[in-house]
Amino acid sequence: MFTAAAESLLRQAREIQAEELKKFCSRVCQLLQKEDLGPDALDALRRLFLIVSATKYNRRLEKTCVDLLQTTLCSPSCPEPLQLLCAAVLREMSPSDSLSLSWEHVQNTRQLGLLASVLLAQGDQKLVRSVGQRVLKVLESRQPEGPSLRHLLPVMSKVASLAPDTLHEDQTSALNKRLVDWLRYASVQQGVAHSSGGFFSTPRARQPGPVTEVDGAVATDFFTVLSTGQHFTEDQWLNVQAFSMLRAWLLHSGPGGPRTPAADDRSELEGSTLSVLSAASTASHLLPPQERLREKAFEYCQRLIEQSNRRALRKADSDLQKAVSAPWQAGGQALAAPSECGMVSPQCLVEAVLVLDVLCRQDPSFLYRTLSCLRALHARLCGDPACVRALLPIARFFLTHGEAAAVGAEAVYQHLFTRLPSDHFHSPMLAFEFIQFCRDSLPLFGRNLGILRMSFPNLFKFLAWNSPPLTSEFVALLPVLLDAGTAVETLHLLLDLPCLTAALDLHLRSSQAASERPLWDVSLRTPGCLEALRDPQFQGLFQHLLRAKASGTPERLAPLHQLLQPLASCARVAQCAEAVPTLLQAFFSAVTQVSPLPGSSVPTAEEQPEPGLAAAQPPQWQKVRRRGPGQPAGTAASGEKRLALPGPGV
Amino acid sequence: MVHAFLIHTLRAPKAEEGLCRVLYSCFFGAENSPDDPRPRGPERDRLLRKEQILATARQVESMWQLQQQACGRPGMDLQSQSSDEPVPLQEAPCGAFRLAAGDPFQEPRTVVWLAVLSLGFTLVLDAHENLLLAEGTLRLLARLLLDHLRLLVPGANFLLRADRIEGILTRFLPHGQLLFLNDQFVQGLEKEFSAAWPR
Repeated sequence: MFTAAAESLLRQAREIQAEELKKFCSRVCQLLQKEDLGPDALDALRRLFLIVSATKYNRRLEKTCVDLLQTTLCSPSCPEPLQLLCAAVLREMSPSDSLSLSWEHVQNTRQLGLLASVLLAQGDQKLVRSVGQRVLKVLESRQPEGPSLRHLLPVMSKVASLAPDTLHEDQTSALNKRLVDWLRYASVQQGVAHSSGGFFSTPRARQPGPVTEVDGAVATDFFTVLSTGQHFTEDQWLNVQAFSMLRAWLLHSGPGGPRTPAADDRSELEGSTLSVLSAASTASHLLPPQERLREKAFEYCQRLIEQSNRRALRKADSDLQKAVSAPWQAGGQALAAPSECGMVSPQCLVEAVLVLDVLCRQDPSFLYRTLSCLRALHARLCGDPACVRALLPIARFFLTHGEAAAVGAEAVYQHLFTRLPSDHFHSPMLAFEFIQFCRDSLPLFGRNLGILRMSFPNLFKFLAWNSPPLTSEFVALLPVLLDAGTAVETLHLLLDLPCLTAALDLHLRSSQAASERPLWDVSLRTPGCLEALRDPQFQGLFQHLLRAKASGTPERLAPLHQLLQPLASCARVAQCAEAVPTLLQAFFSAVTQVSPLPGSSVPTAEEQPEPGLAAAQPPQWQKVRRRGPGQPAGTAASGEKRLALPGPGV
Repeated sequence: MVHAFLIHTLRAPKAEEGLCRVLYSCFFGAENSPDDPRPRGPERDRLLRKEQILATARQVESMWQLQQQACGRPGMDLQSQSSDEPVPLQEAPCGAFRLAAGDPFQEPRTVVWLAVLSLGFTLVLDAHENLLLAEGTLRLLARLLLDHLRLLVPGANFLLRADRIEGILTRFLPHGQLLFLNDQFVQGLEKEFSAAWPR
């Protein structure tokens, strides 16, 4: 796809000289000054964008040209493609001293949004705040035939993330009220098709009918992102955007968010007395805006959870049904790819759980209503392979709130650490998310840390299969995973990590159906190894290697090393082997920082490992021992230019 | 929210010649360091941004190459896809990794990438985003870009059609906001886009 012609075009754009650029700018100015901005102007702007963006060094454009770009961007009659290109060129040149955008008189919200994108790219906090103020003024306007606000709500969200102190308390309250309207009271009638193919529909006498649920039934309650229809109204569109930004907004405006100290005391007091009321949703209209938003957010999430239980009926989802049935045993990547309607469900579920987590953190009175709902959801999802990634935020929720609610969520953690890694180690996205979950939740594990530690063999499956993106994550995780009881076993498994990779590859070869897309290394054939997998002599060793929990005693895997030798040339095994020295470095850093208890079996760097294992792994082991702990990991990696594939075995 | 979106080349794992090229990139807002006392010229800031993008693209390329090799597909013939076959986006390789603070972005970021033949589509996200949503959005963007820019037609050159890319991004990823768009919303937006950019 990237042809020589494209490469040459890029080079030309980069090498254009100042003189030539000046001439080109004059041409652009000429074209933009015409009454009728036609295809020539479009073509010229496209080229200008390429010239400016192709190089990392600054391109000096003539001032007249820059001014004209700004004027064109603000001009009400300019066609959209040209506006977009003007904005794109100005953004590419950011940060820039020569911007003089005057946007006071701009009424069109789409243009306002484009202008905002240019101003936000300048990296100037003052500008960000002024963008926020301007956009808020428009958002607060309540004219029924007013400007289309959907171009501006995302700007507000971006401003809040870049400059959290932009809005005063009153303004936040005002926006909270509007968000409640959009989230909870959007129309439940479908929109009418706009004749020009546009999206905004004006109220008409004839209604096309109610919105539907994903399974085709008429909508049973308020509009959400899982409601469907032929066309949508403006407020339904704002419903989608409001939910999309909800979590970030709740975090921004919640306790701990930027507020004046006096307001802080007042609203905390309000929160504590009124939180009893918020438990009964009938009294919600009495709540102050922030508490009301939380209550409506809670209702929205509950509705999403209920809606996601419906079987989606659309044609696009028959593909989903197919994807769910056959290749599911191996859980291919295809299932982590939610792009069609029905697959929006898992995305929404994850978000709903994440929002509920934030709500319960901000107002513990939501907790008792949420816990039972999530326990039921967890039970439902355990049997649904398409939603496996949604189990992670549920587990995190229980880790965060389980103690407070005196709930034993061991079943959740057991399922998470026992089943998921064994079944889905080969999915790169799940692997990454799972390990992120472990890292981010470390402070929350508390007395459940033991489950995490005992599950290290399962966690290492993610690492063995996906070593390049996960090595640095495990280096950070190792110090916490280790304890006196599992350290020796961990060391052995680290040394055997490439064996584990090979064993997982064999396991996939033997368990996947022939019709499925192969997940193992297709360039390698290993008939002998596959037979050995079924040999009773070796099954015990394979099972030990592929165990889900720490067993307490390391096993001698030397016979497996011989057996797996043909897989040593497999690229995945080699990648894993390259990661091992770094991991061993991290291991020894971690263990030598803990002062050993008397009589403990934690090995120091000077201690010999089992002779059998050392003999099987001479090159790496010896190298690491010579180097010792505490040296930068960089030397470990760079010293392994010609990395011996681990030992005579695998 | 999304901090940046980029489209870049992917070279086959054993390719010796050529460089990883960023074909299109877009920032949503700017990282700023109000605590940095050194005066930073706008040129330096821009240079830094471009280099951050290139560093990210190179890492994505490297991750993709390793993943291809690990699957046993190192010498995949990237030009073999005919323009008539629909690109199997459901099976397109994808992955994610974390970028620590300072390396190369000031804040810690998560990168999600998708590879379609020899093109990489990458999102640079805030550290704690809904990755399922990000992945879905990326597949949607890739599908739209492939369809509306006819990326698979040999010789067709999207470097000079940034307005279409902008038109798609402005609707489906406005200001870096990931959206929960069910199929009906996607169809509606796509119709709106096609009306403004007739093929």
